Amino acid sequence: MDKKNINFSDHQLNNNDVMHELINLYIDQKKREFRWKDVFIFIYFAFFLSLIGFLVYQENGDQINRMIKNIEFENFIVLIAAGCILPDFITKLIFKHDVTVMDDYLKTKPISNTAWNRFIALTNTLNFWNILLPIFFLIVCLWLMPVAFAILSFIMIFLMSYFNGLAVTSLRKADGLEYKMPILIGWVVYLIFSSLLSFLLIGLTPVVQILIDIVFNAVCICCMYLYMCKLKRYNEYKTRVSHAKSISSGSLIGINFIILLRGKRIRTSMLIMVLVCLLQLYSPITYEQLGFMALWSFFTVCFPSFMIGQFGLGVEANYIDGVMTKPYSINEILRYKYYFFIILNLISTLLLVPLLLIHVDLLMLIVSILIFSIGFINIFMLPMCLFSKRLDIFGSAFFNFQGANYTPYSFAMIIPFFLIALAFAFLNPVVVEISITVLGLLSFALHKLFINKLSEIFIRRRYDIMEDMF
Amino acid sequence: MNIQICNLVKVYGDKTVLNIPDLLISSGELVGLVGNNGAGKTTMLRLILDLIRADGGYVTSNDWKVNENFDWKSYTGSFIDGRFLIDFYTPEEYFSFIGNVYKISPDIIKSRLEQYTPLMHDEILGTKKYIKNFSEGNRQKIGIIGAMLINPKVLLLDEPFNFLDPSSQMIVAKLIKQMNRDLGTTVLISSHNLNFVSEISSRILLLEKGELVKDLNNQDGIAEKELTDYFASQV
Repeated sequence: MDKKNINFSDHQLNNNDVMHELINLYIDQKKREFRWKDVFIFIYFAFFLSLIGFLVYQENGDQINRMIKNIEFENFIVLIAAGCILPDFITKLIFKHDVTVMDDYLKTKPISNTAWNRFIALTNTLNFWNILLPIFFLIVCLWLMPVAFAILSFIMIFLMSYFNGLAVTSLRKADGLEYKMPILIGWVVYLIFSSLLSFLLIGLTPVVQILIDIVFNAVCICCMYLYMCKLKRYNEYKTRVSHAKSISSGSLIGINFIILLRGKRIRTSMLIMVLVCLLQLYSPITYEQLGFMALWSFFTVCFPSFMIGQFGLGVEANYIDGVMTKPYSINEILRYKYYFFIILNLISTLLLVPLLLIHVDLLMLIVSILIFSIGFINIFMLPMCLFSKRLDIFGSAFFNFQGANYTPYSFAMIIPFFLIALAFAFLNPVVVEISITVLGLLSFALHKLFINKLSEIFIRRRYDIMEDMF
Repeated sequence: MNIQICNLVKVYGDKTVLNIPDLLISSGELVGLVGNNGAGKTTMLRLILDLIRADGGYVTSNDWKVNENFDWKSYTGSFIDGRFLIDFYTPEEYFSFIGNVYKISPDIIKSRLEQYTPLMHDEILGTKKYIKNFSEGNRQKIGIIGAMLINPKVLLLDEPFNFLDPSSQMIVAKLIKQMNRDLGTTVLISSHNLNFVSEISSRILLLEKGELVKDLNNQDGIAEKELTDYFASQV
């Protein structure tokens, strides 16, 4: 063959062109994944958080103002930033999602590693979890200190947050322990030096403190970036294959346990929620307040089933055609799901047993909450099966809302929580305990009837529900 | 168990994707369903399995409307696509699950699985992998075995030869034929593979743009030439 006639690709892009293309791709992806629903949810949560902040300030505003008056926060901002490094890093490890390795469709194109690494650096700059903390600090700093200091503090905290974000990205990009270890060691050294520096800088003028910390963080970012550029990773799909241990014989109730154990997303979200509830419950501050004790006990007992119940038949949606073509009725699925919820409630109640050793007077409260959760809350969750969306249980995302639905019913589900909170706040605890016990027992007695009705509705609307699941 | 279709219509938007006035698949028949992409083969199977709503007409299985009486589920084995598989199960767990829902004892499941050893080729059982981690070919095999494991009276398979290596295609064709012959299972398979379809089917239905354009007797493979000519004329 005449070599002159072989026309290799003319599209040899330089790094800037590649970056441009990658950014376009990134923007297109974000645009196409954008959903107004998510914005609404964000606003919804932001509103509630603001409301809580406002109420706290309204309640303790004078005290806070007196405290603020006597403290010059710019003197301590470096120390505060150093204190945030560890929680910030953990948060990113859990929540942050990264672009780390080129997908095959990019890898097979003329995209240089330099351009790709720059792109990673850029996406980290725009990452929600990397800018959340700096923005939060900017708002607080603008309130607590002069504007110039607030802006400097923002830059410093952004760099700290960016370093953590880049470290997490690098950890994910590193293939094998030998490449991950330097990052972990480097990060620990960063944490130690950053903490030491923040103590050593106390006494210097705030501007000098912040500027030194900015330079320190910038140097650390450069080191981390250079190391990340050296990392090479292949999409070895085989390495992702996990070895399964058989844990059930495929029984109809066992399937629910397997979903929980193997579905990283469901497992993580449930465990985190229970952990938060337990931390609150066993915190010495809560011991003093019966209302809070009741509320956190209630959350601990019912959250596991509440968390899973909110997905309805989201997991089953993955193999819904298989289910609907087998002699395995929706009624059975719902009934086994309900029994599984009961088991979860019982397990989480066991976590409250140590609490009873300290507060034996809480026995009646916990028993009534358990009965209420088993009978009423679990039944209350079941209609979510009518609104289920397919849930990818292997996804690691805790904070993406795929599979969760925001139907009016999703919000209605929160009503029992508010009712319980209000009841414990305003009514005699004994009255509340008796009421919820009766309600729970009544609901439990009627659960089969309720499930029969629900599965009838499901079957009647099955085509629409099944089409809507995907 | 026969399957009957009466005035079955499925419409998406303003497009009629399936319109079959009348069709009877008699008990014990092995029927192949062929047609170009978009002909309505999968839609027809999904309607027979009551997975989507018919906009007109109905399907009966053993003289019962499939959307009103669900007894057909206890004797029908089917596999269309990945939505039939439980991704977070290992194949053993999946087969065991099928055993549970069809009330087949683990021992029987185990002995029946042995029949499928040549198809599984030591790549499915004992691999300690979740179904999601298998290749498309092996997922296809798991789905087909899952459908056949119950020794169904009616077997519906959509593109059973897809993703399979040549020897596995031959084994699947042989297993389908064997099941139909030995158990009298009524079989309906859709496929683009004219060779296999005409080799094993006793009757072949040709769908085009949602309409049943040919209903061919295929005793001794006599329909293959007509089908080949038909598709060649479309080129």
